Amino acid sequence: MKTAAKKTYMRRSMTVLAGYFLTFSGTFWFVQHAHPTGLELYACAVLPFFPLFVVFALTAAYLKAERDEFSRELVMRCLLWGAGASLSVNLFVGFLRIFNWPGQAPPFLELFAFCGAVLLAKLTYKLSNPLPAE
Amino acid sequence: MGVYLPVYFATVFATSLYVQHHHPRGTALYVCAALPWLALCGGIASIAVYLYEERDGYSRDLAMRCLLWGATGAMATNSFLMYLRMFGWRGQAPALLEICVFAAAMLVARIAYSVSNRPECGRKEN
Amino acid sequence: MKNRLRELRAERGWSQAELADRLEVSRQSVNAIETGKYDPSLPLAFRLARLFAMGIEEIFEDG
Repeated sequence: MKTAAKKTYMRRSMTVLAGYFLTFSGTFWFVQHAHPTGLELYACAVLPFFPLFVVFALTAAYLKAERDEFSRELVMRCLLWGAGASLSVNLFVGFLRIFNWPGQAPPFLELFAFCGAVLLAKLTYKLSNPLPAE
Repeated sequence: MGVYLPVYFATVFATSLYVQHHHPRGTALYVCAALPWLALCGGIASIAVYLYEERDGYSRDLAMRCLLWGATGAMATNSFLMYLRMFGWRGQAPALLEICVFAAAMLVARIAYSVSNRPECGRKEN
Repeated sequence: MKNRLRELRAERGWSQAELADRLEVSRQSVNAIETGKYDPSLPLAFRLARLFAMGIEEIFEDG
């Protein structure tokens, strides 16, 4: 059963994510054709970043609005596991670069690590707290 | 944390020295990157253990919030840099920039919470 | 923290889902409290006490 705060959050963040895909596609298309440099390039990088920033803000608003403390703590724990995994990946790539690694990490690697870890944490908590049949 | 930080610094120092002299490639380079990384992962694990063991609910909640603010800062920085790179930016951000942003955001959050929960000045406690 | 939540719920013939609805929390929360894996906050403990029309100490046992 989803709480009211969770339902509101899901609805809003899905809308923003749809906006993100549109913004990202549009910006990517523009970059492929116009090949911007300097300030223009920075502006292009900021555009798809904005919807993501809004999702962060919505998540913070959800955590504030959620009245079910157990659900809120569970969400915070899952987010922290995700953050731990993302930072961990980022650190490893950072050390590789410090040690003159000539390669390039795949894009969105940290984001995949984050989402994967959040999902795994959620599954683990669900399995360790099974709901009895009623 | 008091154990992991000296281990981390020692590992970074030793590994950097080795890399400077031997210029490893391939698997050896990955192993060199993994050594200080493991030390830092130990630090991350120690935070997880602290959160598990902390009996004071308010302190734990505050720590989790600060960590989340730190994570938000780090992910925001990482996303921006990722889009820059994807769109053909040839520059190079300083290594470990995200972890610095993480630490700074955590510190700012901690200070903000401390300031907003400070005791009133001049008020005598009963 | 030990509690009599399951017993009190059964007396009234409520399922976990029904109790969760009345408290405006998730069924997961109710289950976690009943199994002693999670201690409710004060506001939730007071809501429980008001719902069952008894004191918090009659529902929860410290120790």
